Amino acid sequence: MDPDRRSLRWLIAIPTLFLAYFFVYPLVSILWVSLTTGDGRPWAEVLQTARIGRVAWFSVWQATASTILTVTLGLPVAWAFSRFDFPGRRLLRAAMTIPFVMPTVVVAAAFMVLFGRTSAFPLLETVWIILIAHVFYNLAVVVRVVGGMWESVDDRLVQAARTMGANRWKAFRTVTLPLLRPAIAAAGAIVFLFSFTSFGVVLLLGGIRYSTIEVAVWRRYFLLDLQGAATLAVIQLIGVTAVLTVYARWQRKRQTQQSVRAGRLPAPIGWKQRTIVFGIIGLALIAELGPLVTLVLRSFTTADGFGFSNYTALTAPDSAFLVTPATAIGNSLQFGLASMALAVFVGGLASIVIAARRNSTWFDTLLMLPLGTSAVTIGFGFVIALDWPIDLRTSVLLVPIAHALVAIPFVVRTTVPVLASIRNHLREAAATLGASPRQVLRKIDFPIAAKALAAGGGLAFAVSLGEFGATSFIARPNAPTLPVAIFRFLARPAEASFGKAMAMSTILMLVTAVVILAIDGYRAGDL
Amino acid sequence: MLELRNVSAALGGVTIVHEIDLAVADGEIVALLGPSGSGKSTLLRVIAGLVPLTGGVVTWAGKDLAGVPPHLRDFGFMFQDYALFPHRSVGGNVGFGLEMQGVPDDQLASKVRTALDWVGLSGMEDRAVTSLSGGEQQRVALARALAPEPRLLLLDEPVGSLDRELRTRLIDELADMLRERDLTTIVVTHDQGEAFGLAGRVAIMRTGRIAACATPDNLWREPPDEWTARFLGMTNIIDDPERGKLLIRPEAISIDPHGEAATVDSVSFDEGRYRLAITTASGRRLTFTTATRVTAGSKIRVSIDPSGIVDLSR
Repeated sequence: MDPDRRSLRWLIAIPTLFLAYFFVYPLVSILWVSLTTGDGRPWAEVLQTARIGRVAWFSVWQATASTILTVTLGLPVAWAFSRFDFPGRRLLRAAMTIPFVMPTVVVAAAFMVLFGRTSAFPLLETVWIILIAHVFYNLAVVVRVVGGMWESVDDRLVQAARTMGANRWKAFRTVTLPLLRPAIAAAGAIVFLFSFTSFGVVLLLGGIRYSTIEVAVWRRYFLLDLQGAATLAVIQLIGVTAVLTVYARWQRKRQTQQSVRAGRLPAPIGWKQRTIVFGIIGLALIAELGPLVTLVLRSFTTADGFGFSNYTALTAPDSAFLVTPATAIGNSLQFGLASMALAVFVGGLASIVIAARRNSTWFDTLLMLPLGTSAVTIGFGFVIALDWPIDLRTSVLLVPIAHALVAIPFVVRTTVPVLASIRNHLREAAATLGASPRQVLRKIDFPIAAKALAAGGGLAFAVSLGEFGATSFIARPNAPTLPVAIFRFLARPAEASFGKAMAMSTILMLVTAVVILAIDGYRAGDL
Repeated sequence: MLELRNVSAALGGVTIVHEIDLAVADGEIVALLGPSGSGKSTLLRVIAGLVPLTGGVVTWAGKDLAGVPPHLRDFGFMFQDYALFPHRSVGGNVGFGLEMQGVPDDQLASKVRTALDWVGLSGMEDRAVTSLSGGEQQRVALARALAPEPRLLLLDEPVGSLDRELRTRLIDELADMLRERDLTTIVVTHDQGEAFGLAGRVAIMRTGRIAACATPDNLWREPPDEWTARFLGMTNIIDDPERGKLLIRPEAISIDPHGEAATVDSVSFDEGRYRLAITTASGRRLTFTTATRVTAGSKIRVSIDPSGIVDLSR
């Protein structure tokens, strides 16, 4: 890759400028707004008006509770999926991950049906529904991250402990659990961060009583308290950075090499073990897929029985909107395609640079930062910063740019490992067979990376379809996206609106599921 | 004809190849044999143009190759790990070089078929390379290097990553194929059997230099120095007070009722013969093989054929 060094400098310019203007500059603007008391109020008053203490405390304790619950409930499921082999194991495990990739408005809609006022468990606007939603959302993280490690734990270590007199429980506590600790910590950190910055779920299900920092930023902004919103956003950013730093340091310290299990997983043996394993898996599947099924069923429930009227109503003009709900679906698809193109272009260029120069940490960090930044912060930053040098705030491009920003890390994460894994031998082999450097790029690098790039693009599309936090700040009233439209319908008490919200949520859920499964299938075909 | 004059090369600032002189005639097969780290693979990559020279000249048919990039050299290269393109089928791999030459599609297909016939993989065009066994991958890599009919073939440990039984078989096949085609070939290997089985001439490399270069039988008969003799597995090296360092080739030693008395220290069985380690009455420790069954600890008498004694201190 040496002769391409000079062109690398050009490649790096585009992603750097993109992120500098659309990410760093808005963040700096937020910081600026939080520090300049525009309306002359003292700082203490700004913080007090925003009820910062209460909001921060709620964010921390509900995230802690959500994490403990998710890990506790996730461990048995991870065990059942990672220590036994049975027909359909991969498919069922993939099904378990569907809620994790669902847009927050879809999950909120499903929970409104399950825990609504007229349901058997009227938990709406309690803290319980928030915790349950977070567990529902993040269970897959524990199953995947901890299960992935559990699968590779060497049986012989446990067997060795057993031969030395440890009973089952003791062997688990003294051997398995310490080996799993890094994975549990990793999963816990992810769950904590997601719950800490939870937005759609809390906003829609928690009522006005409960507010994470994320939700509070949104509320302060719509109360026109820019400084309060900015201050909250800065505090959240500090909190997230602190968690990530502690976690990274902790991870570095405990990187241990362990022996890896060889051979295949056993099937569950005996009726007792089978009952436990399949019982756990069955319950987990019901808990993870049940709400989504309920949502679909509810979308077909109308005033006069089962039917499509909630769907057919989508094409009719609605009093709450300047456009029909169907237009919102069209908007979302268009924004999704634009975001995908943008994310693939910028993320693809960035990936080439990262893969070619192994040690450019500042660039990697810059690219990954949007992932750790909450969507609300990005949306808020856009509306307060992007009126300079030209006013972009009313541009059609604003939504795709925000979505691309959120999606670029996904494109980079899927593409870089593939590009980096292309051994130089392949390029050399192509050269000795007569391929010029340009042909090598076209015939070797590009085709090999194309699949990963396509998978990254698919993820970008899915992210864009479901994105709600940033979009709720920047979507223009005459061009709502699907999640924005669902949010508005859910916020209105009328039964007809609720039905439409269910229909739109079902559509969003199905499209997202199809895209994600297609990417999964793509990846599986690769192996 | 390939000629290397005074060729040096470095990797990461460390000189790996020192002032090599080597000529390979058209149709000749030369092996570069040496322990790992001796610079043999780097030398091969220098010839292919994949590693730049830090000194000296590489010429083909008298023309300097400096400034000719690898893709214009028309040298076939087979990598030790095969470097098959994972995103292309077997046919797509074998046809890659022809594609680069701009061979039209219809001819390309028939040429790929012929190349696969050569290596005994007829009809496997559409298979994924990831589904192949190690031996099959080796054959695809060979077919891919052969298909564009390069003027020079460079093989880097062509059977190095296969198991032993397969290796022996593939080396025989490879030798036949190369001789049939009169292909000028340089093969890098760390295995003496492979080098001797394939090449008409063997260059033994040691720490970036050529320690010896001759036909296999000459190398065996007259190794130039102690290191070469030991590298080739000959351990009967003695310090003679009058003649200096002497090598006694193992086949020169035989059991002889009229010879010198000796004690058998150990016996092992190897390819139908017994390998004996003995100590002679005069205190020399020697090893040799014999068809006669002998037990450890027994007393025998041996004689040494004077023509099998090589003076290493010349």
